[in-house]
Amino acid sequence: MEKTVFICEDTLEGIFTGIYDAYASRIGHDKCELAAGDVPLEMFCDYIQVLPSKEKAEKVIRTLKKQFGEERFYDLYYVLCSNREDKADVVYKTVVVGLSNDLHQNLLDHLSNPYVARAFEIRRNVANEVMHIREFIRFQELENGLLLSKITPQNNILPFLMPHFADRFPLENFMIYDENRKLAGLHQSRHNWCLAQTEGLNPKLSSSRSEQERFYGDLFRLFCKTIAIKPRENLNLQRQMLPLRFRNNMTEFQ
Amino acid sequence: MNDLKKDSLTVFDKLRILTDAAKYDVACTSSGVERKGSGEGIGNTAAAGICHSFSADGRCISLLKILFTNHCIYDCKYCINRKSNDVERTTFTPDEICELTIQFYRRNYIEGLFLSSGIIDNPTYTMELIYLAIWKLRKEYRFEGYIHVKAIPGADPAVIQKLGMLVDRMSVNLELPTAEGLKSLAPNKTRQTILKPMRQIQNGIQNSKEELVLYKHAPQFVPAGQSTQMIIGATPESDYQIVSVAESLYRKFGLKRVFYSAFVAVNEDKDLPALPGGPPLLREHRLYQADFLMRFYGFKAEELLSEDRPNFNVLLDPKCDWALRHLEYFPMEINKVSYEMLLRIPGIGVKSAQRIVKARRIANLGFEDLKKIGVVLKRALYFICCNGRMMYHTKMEEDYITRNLLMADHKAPASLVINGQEMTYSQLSLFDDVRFQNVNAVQHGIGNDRKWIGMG
Ligand code: SF4
Repeated sequence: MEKTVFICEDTLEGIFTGIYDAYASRIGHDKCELAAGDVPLEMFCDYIQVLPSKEKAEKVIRTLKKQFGEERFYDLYYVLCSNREDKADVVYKTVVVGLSNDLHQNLLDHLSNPYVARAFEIRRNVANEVMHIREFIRFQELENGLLLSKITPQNNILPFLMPHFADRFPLENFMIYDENRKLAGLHQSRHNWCLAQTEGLNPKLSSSRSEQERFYGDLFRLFCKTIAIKPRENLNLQRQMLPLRFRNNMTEFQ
Repeated sequence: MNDLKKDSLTVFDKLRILTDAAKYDVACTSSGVERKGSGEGIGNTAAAGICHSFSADGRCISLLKILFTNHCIYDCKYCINRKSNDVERTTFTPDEICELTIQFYRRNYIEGLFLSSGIIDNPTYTMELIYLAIWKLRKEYRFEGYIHVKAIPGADPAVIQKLGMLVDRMSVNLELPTAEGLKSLAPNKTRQTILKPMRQIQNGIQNSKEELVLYKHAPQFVPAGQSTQMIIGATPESDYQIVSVAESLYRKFGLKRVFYSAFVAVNEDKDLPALPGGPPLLREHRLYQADFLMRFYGFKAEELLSEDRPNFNVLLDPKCDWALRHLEYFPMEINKVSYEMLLRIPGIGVKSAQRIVKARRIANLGFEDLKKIGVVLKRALYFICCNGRMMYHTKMEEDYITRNLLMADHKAPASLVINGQEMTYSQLSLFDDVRFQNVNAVQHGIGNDRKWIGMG
């Protein structure tokens, strides 16, 4: 069977436009696939390049929110922020399942459907990473008072991290920098946060640390060392709870 | 009277001493209250709590857990800060506590402060000093993150009341599970003086909730609730006694959490037990599992243990243990049984049970679906069927299933020969001496299901 692949830009707007176009094409959902970003081309496929359209994307977003509710919409948003290659298609097919079975809030309960199950799994993976980074991220204070944190997440999680820290540090100037995506989450005291693509900008992040930085880093290292109870030592358990891959940027392990 | 001004130690030394003195308190959770920032200070809180690191003993670091002072007029035998110990003593100033909290918090090291204390002069005076420090942190430093303070038994109810309006959680340590235990190891404390502030806090929380219904923005008293902790293994109580005490604390005092702290021998004292095998960690672990079963799975203490069977099984977690003693309920049909019964199946947790109930409304579930839902099939398969069929052909026999479960967890001893006699697993759990000899053998298994216990 021939299939038609809609290739979209790897952004919310791009993928939602893709869903719109796939529906509008009337080719039939079982013959359509959605792909985001760079895709290896296969034989016996038709390829359609999707032009991101704000209007179409907004229409889709409105429909999804109305049908499934805000919470489920954000679940799908989580999926779209993942780094999985099949994410665009998974969201598209999950939406198809949801609309054709008239599911609502219970969209992701339909786990016996393979697309829904996959969406559920990807959502969980992204949400877990958000949770972990929210716990283990560390800020360093620069000389000018800016709090800076560098992260290297698998998924594009800045859209979820920024609201948490903006609410927490309303009076701070801070920046979370995703090195993998060259994307910066910026927050200025008493302002809203924003994201900025820094590709080609080469931001100067090496500005020196404040004088107090070393002092508080030392105090925290001392605290972590002292709080452990010797006769209970269990490095395996520690590694299980806090895998080594997270420790690179953590003050207490430096 | 202690002269507070004489203290000339650096913050560095104070932090070392007062962390070291605080670390035997087990609670470090920052859960129980969801609060957005006001926009005019620093901090917020998350209902589920947030861990920020894990120390070398595998325990979570969520709060800056320190003592205000390690001076103490009391002489509790198990405590490193007891009056008769010759240790370095010091006291934080309120500003030192505030600076440490804020500077750690800004760097996302911690979720907030957990302040406990030894007793200077008397309980009320000490609590007044703590109140001043917390007041400063909230009002001058505008800290809106999580604060947990210990209430000191015997302190004036007025100071507990006003402190409760500033903090998220308060706790009074039960210290030891029974009044006799307390008498033998904490001569300056009584059950009565401990339960009194516990009751006061409970009532305060209740009143505050009622007020909140009337006035939406009424300031809240201890919004994240009250917890307590008891030391396990310093006194001779059985597991059954301990879970019964916990159960009545939950019921009668509305506690949010009871924490169990495996006794760590820091002092030499003829009244303290010698623990050559180290702190009783497996026992502590089993108590947390049982605690979880009582809070979220609808188990009662007397379902888990009894006078005749007063201690937990070394090899099996309390839920498996219960299921194996009640094979008459199994196998259960996943597509039919109630939520409450689903919770009783080994390998199915609260989340999976909820998902099953939702998913089966839409379609009949098979074993593949259960896997996706997060059911631990290698445990559950002995206890369930889907659409009338079990996953494999399984004998519904206690010994057979026990052996298989233990093998799945790699905990099965090669053979069970005690005093030259081959044992069955059900006999094994009756041997108390085996219980303690085996503790170290299985200890490596602790923590594998830590997530399940939900330390948050
Ligand atoms: S009151 Fe008892 S447990 Fe508390 S610090 Fe003093 S000696 Fe230790």
